[in-house]
Amino acid sequence: MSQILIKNGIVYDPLNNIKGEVMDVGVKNGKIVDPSEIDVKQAIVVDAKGKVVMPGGIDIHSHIAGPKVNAGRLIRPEDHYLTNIPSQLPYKRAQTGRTVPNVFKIGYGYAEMGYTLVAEPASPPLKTRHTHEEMDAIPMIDKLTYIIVDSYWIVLDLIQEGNKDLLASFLAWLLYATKGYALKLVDPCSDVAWILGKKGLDLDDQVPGYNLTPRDVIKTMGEVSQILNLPHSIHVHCNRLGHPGNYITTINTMNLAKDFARKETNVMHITHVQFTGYKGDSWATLESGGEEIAKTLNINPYVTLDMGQIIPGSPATTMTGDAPFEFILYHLTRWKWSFADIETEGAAGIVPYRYRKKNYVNTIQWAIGLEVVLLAKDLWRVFLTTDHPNGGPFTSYPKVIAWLVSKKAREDLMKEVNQRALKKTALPAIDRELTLYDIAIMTRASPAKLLGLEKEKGHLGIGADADIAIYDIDPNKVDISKDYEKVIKAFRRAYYTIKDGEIIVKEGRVVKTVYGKTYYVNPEIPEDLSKEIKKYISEKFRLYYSISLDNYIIAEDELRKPKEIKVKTMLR
Amino acid sequence: MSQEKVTYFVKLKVKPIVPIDARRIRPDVFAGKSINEIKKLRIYEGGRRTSFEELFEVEGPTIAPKDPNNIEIVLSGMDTHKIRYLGYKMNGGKIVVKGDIGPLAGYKMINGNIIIEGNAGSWLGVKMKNGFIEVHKNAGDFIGAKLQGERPGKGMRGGMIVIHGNAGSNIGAGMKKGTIIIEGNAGNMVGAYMVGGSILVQGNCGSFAGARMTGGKIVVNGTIDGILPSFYVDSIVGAAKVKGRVFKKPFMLFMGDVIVNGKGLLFVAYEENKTLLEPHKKLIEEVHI
Repeated sequence: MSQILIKNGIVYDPLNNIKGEVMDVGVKNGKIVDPSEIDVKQAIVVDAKGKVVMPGGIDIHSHIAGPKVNAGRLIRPEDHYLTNIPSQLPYKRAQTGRTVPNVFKIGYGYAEMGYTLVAEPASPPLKTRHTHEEMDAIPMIDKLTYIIVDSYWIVLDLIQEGNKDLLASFLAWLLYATKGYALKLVDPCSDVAWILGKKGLDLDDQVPGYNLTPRDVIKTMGEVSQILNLPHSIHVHCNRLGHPGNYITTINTMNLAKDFARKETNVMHITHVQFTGYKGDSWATLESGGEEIAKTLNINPYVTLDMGQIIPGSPATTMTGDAPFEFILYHLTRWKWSFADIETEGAAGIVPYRYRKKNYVNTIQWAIGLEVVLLAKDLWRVFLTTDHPNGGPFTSYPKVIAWLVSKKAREDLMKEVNQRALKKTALPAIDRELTLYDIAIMTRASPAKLLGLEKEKGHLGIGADADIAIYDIDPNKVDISKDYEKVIKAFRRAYYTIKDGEIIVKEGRVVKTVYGKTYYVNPEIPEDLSKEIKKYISEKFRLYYSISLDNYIIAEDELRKPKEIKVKTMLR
Repeated sequence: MSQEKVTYFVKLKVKPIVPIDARRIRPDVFAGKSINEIKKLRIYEGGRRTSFEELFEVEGPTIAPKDPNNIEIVLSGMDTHKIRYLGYKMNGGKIVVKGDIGPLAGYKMINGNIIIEGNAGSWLGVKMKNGFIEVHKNAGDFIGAKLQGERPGKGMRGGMIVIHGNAGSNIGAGMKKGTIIIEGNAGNMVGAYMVGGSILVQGNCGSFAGARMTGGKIVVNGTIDGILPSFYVDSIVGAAKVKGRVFKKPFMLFMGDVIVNGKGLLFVAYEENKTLLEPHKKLIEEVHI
């Protein structure tokens, strides 16, 4: 493998506490090594003078693969017109799509922005084979997927029976069988109600058919996730998402974390918090709850958040396992809606949407995401996402970065948005401007930590995977808070992207296609529990499923480049 | 300052095998360019990028006038129906096609004239904003329509399309404004998802006319295969009129589509379609008894 020497770059590496120092980075055999080990005669030397060098970006929540993405492509032909880019062989395949692009555009798009690891956040276990097939087709990036377990009948049965060891071993089996990485709770238990023809649930409503509330389910899953010692905490999409006044539910959910916390940090991740931060009684009196959520975040060290930022003036395709909410959204937009039930595991809906600048509600939504980040004291616990494609396509991340680092960027957009709505938010009063180091924390270091991959990803220390992004911006010469256009330009097209020690993007253009790894966890279960759970599962499968157990399990050779992460559990 | 009108003769050199993306053959691209620059214009033959002069013989004045309205382009040759995207976003001027033309002619057209002396393909004048398109023979489906999957009202937004022959199905689907006149017959789904504007079918027409329309006007002068049950009979009127074309004979006036609370008007000639009202008559008789 080739050697690369990146010379004189301005390095931002929060995990190793490097704050914009000029230094060299050496790459050998796909790993980062000390620059002195590089043989300069054989190495490719990249001159990064006056350019920012960061670890490869990590996106912890982006719907890039799975049956719902495919359904989104099918119901939105208008998303693909005039977006076709012909293939440029041998490096690039044809690209199409805007909010629900094809697999190649997803891979190239992320690589061009300097991202190298992306997590698909919602895959129902039964359909995870499809998710893996599609992730295998996405070039350039490393991938992993979270498994939806909140409305899963077998899981709810086990929670009701109260046998935590058995539940833990079932979830361990499930994660290994579906090659998943973490547990996702989507509007906990609402899909159970929805499949039975009822509306969504609040935190303390009873789950139909069970003597449980979503509160019990979140608590138990949080405990079990820690018993299993999973690298990523539970990934919670809060109840009552998208309803005015739901910020109280979000805060209550966040406060739950301290009840079951066994660790000091990363016990619960609240995802796309913007959609669950609405204050007010109705859409007409909607206000921003971002301030309250940020306050709760600051006093609650167990919880992490991601923004779910919306992009005003941008089309979006909302797709989520929160089927009751999509039904409401369909009646708001009155255009088109796609919907699916997944046997006894959940449901999903897809509705196209367009965020408008002059719209009252959309302006509030825009402000909430930014407020949460800008009022958070600890940036290691907030993450930059747009919940692609729910809030906007992932290609808008540079815009979000510009709003975070520059007050001027926010003010320029504030002139165009709904002024009545702006008065109901705290955003105009916030002066905070993040630095590039903060951005490196939010998009590189802390996501790697949150996913438990901080040894190999998200930093440039010796021994890390050689995933590097170089951006053509000099923070010593350019005032990023004023020239935010330059920030957008630099982050939209990375100067260089290096993946596993190979240069894949050069001056914003893809020059080589590589295929990344798929991470999954394999929690070890004691043998007696393993036997017991297998018996239990085979009984339940006959009761609940239309397919046999053997067809349910995804073998390792079905993945293109599997990367197992063995986990030592706390079970007996 | 009015300039002299100029004409460019553009002729296909050979019989094309694959489609040609000719979105650059339009007066506002030609405007202000010398003939050598025009010959070097980019054009796609299938997936292959090539230059204008490789596919076409171009004859005309050495320098084109700056105002596109003074430019006329005459397109001829064998198998011109392989040419698509003719007059894409065209703004002013005139294109005459001596033969057939392929799909997506006049797509997103802003202004100007397109005269097709043969047949036209499908998707003619899709999403056009203004201008005039005339087809001397027949045309395909989706004339003046929106693209599949888009919201109603994203179709034709103004201007006029006249077809002297027959047309296919989905005429004016999702159109918002403007006029479509078909002097021959039309297929199914005339004016589906229509929001405004008017469509005149002088000949016969298929079924499902005006499905899910919320506004606008459809006039059928000949026979119609059937009316959707979601349309209700409003009255019988003495005449129907579209853009100065008056038909003085009794028309049944239907309103709908009720499914989407629509208030679109559907005029159907009375004498030709007498059987349409039979079920209604039966109902009235039953009520009287």
